[in-house]
Amino acid sequence: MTVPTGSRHVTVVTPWYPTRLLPFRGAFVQTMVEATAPGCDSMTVIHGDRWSAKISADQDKAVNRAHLALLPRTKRVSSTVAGATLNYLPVPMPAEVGFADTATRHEATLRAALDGKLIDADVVHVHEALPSGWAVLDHLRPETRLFVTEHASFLEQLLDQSDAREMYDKVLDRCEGLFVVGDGTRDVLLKALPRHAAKVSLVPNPISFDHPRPEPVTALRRWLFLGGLIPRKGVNWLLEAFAKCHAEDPALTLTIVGDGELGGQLRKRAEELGVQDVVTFAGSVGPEVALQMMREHDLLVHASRWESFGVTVVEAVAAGMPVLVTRCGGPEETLAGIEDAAGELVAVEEDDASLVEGYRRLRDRFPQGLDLDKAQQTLNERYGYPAVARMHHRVWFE
Amino acid sequence: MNILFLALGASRKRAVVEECAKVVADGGTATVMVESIAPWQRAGFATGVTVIDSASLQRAQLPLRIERLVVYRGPEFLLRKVLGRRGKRAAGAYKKKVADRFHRRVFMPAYQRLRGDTRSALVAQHITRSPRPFDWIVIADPVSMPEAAQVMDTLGTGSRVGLAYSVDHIS
Repeated sequence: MTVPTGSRHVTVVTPWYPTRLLPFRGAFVQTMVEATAPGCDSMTVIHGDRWSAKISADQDKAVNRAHLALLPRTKRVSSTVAGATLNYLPVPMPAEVGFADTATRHEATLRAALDGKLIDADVVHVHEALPSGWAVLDHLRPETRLFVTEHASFLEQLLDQSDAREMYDKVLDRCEGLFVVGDGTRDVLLKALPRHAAKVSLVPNPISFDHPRPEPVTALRRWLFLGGLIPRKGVNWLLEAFAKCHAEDPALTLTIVGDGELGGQLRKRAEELGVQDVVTFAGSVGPEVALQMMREHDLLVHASRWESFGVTVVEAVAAGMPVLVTRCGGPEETLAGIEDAAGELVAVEEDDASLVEGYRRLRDRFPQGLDLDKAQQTLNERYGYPAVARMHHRVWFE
Repeated sequence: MNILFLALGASRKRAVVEECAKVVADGGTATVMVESIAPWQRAGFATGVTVIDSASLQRAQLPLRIERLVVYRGPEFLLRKVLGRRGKRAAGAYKKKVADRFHRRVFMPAYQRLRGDTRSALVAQHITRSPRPFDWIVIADPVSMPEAAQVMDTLGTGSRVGLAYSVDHIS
């Protein structure tokens, strides 16, 4: 794997990057590349993409043997955003594989792709200590500086497993800095591995503020949900809350964007609640389409139980949308000081009451009680591309 | 561009369907080799995409055609003829309890032992005999990886067909 070099060449290694199968996953890594690549001589993204399949142990062995043999013969390199190069590496594995085993498989794939060479970069920045940090450890030049960004919403479960925690510890030993996107993630990490406290700091996900909506929101009628249709996202409570608010105002609509295990259940529940005609299930869409949808809706409703950052919330404000969002970790940090200007934060509850009441409060004080321009300006200073790029370039090159 | 997608595991259907649509929209041709048509019936392939059930390649082979005649069609015909109205049910029971079991447990293992793993050979044959040469094989899921490795071995080093994981990486 030959990569162009320069005094400011950076290789980004990530398990998450948008693909045709999962166009949303890793959009924040793509925005990080888009924001930071312009300040580098060159940037290469290595995307180790988990390919899960329901296969037996024997099939798994045969698949891995074939995979490692095929890898050097495949065309995997293409261009991605901001002039960066994308090197795509599928990582096949059975559906149920633990964190440590997953990291080991990523390492084996990277090893086969590198074909005995080291990663030719002055700076290697990985997303997720496991699997990506572990995957690169044996393939760095001695002088290469290693940085990690940790986003994993499942970090607590990962660090509960002793083998995975041990591997994570080794990654932290080698890296110069580990960046987290929120205090919640930092707390989880330092509880498990306190001796690395000095290396851990906060660097947010970059958000583009370049595409505001043409007309401001005039009424909070068109609700939008963007995210996985999984229990952690609280989308079931969102649907219940929407049905109650729709009963008060039949002009309300809800667009649910995303796929997941709850898809069928949610459609059925929408029918039971009698809101099937005003709830649209749009499936998964790519980041560009998602941002366009934000400009075409009036209110982002984000009902997560836990988020390390909550990119969607900041993107919605960047797109000129008010937000109704749960205090699920990340959003209370990202919206600190501008909660009322951006929308309404509500408690995480295992029912729909806080969302319904939050919507009523927001509706009653809209638009005078909000200041979306101020919210946008504040968030741009915190999470805009120039701000986040400056932070990365400072730690990488100074 | 003429692309063959190996999608025997059917675990990344959305990617395959979208990539086929891109190939066709760009003026190329897309053929998808699948293990079984059933999981793909509602996949929503773009017009012009060819989907091939890999078993159909095997069924076209002479030994399997002979087996079909001797083990399936001959006995079923006789049962219908001899038993009259009850023949249809008897033929169904015979197929399920005798013919299918024989095919699965005796014939196919022996056939594969004698002829090697023929599916990859047949896929390779499909590639070399295609009226329009294939430019790329896209490996679309983990289950297709062993098959792809065997196909490439069968095609040999002289083959010009390239390997990729996505049409997005093919310039």
